[in-house]
Amino acid sequence: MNKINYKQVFIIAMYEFKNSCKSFSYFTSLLFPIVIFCSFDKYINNDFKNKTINITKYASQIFAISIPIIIFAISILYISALANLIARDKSSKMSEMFLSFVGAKEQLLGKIMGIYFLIVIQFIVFTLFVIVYTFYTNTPVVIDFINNINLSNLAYSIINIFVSFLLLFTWTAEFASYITDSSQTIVATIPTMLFAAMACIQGVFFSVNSNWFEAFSIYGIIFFLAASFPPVGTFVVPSLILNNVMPIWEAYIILLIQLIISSILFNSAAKRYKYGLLNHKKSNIILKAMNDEFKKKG
Amino acid sequence: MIEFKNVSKNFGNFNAVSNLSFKLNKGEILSLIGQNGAGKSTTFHMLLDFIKPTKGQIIWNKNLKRTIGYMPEERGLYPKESIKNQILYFAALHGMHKSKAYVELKKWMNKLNVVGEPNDHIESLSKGNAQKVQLIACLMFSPELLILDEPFSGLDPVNADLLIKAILEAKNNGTMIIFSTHNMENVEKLSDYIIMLSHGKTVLKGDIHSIYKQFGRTRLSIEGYKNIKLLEDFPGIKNIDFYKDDCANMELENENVGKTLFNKISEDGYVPVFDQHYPSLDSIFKLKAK
Repeated sequence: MNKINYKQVFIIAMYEFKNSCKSFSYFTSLLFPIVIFCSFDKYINNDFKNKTINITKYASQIFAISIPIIIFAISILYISALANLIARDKSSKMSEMFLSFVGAKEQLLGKIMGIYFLIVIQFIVFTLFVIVYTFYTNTPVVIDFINNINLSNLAYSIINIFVSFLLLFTWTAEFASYITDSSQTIVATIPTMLFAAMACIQGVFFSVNSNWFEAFSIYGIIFFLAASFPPVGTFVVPSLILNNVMPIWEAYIILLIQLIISSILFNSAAKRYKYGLLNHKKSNIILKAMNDEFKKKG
Repeated sequence: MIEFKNVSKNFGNFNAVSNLSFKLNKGEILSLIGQNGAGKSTTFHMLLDFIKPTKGQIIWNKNLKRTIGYMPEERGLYPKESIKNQILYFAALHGMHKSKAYVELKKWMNKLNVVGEPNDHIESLSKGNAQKVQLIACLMFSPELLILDEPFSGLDPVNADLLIKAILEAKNNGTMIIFSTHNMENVEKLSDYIIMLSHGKTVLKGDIHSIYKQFGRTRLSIEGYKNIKLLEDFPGIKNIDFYKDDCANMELENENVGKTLFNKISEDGYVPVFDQHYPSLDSIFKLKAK
């Protein structure tokens, strides 16, 4: 197996990151939620701000529900951004030349890392906003909310989000590499979007009703196996640990297994991605990507 | 040194390339010619490791870093990007320092006479200039192997000459070069070796002189000779083509026919032009492609 050239990965990541940062859609995705939040702030009930509502009781549950929703929301934003990056390479007809000096793995990983950087910046901006907002408006409810989240669960949830995206982005890139013109970009995002939507619904359901779960029952073992397959677990496991029905060590084992499986799937996806980049024939891009044509032809 | 040893590539039942063998040393130019679909791009793709050969071996000299400059038939750069940003991005991926890359970019833009400034956007360039920028992206990091797929297509004669100069300069610096083209004049100007593929099979191979020798001086042009009847009836002449009143081009069965014909027509007096020569690469190409 060829070694990954991490220097090239970083250069690609920085290039895509810088280019995407300049885009209007990224700027909008950064500011729009903040503007919406600020406009609602005016109407937020003073009782809520002054903590007459007991947030402590619901903090974990709210956080548990928000994790699959966050993953889904970020998917909507960034899966199409990634598909656009690949569509740009394909439609500018430079993917073949590019492949001659940058391997498919490096290209794929570089683009995913570039998107990761964008997500990190978005997290940082939102976190800073929350801090500024809390101090500026003197809203104890936010501090209370944060105080009631277990830090190790918070750390797990953040790592979990990034593991989730590794495979979601890899799948998107694989489909997008079969795009023959940029009008097909949206088609390339459909399979991943559908999967993320279904997994999100399941994650929210688990957050609301997680009492059924017993780690050491037959259902618990079946769940462990199902959740070990990425990125299923990343949508459902956070709900269970935040509701204290799954031990954190088990969640980390699931995460580790997902990461290992993701990296194996990433390697085979990179081969199909490479074949997709070299393929210029018009066809159904989903069927083409799912059909293992690379093995047959390459 | 790169060596192809009986390399074949099949796509299902279709033989894209069959038993291709060649060796290329530093500073040598190989031209790969053939009709569309002959297997040239597949050969390039195997060389670039995009696809693996079904059979045979591709051997690279161990001392080579395997740096390859590749200009595919499908040209393209990011249209919204400036020349400078585009080239510096590629240079960084090749491990070149930014300042050195910028100096090289300016040097090559000057050398290839690119009309435009480094900060101009690719989309503002003409097709020919954009093609030259892509060539700069291939040449500026001094690759050990340069692969050019149809490099002359879309270039006017002046720019084609600039490209030839650039290719020869790369050759003199020790770069191995493989290119494909349908322009036989440029093949003649540049190539040390020629391989012609037809339906994936090698139908012609060797250096330009040995290829000419294979066919012999079997083409004859005569001017200022009016005895058409003699030429038509002369044994060993085929495919005769008359033009004007006293000129003819013909194909001879072998070189010796020319000698006997010369003696015969000399008896009729002075013939201003009697030019027995090798067939042009164009006609060899057409003959072999049949």
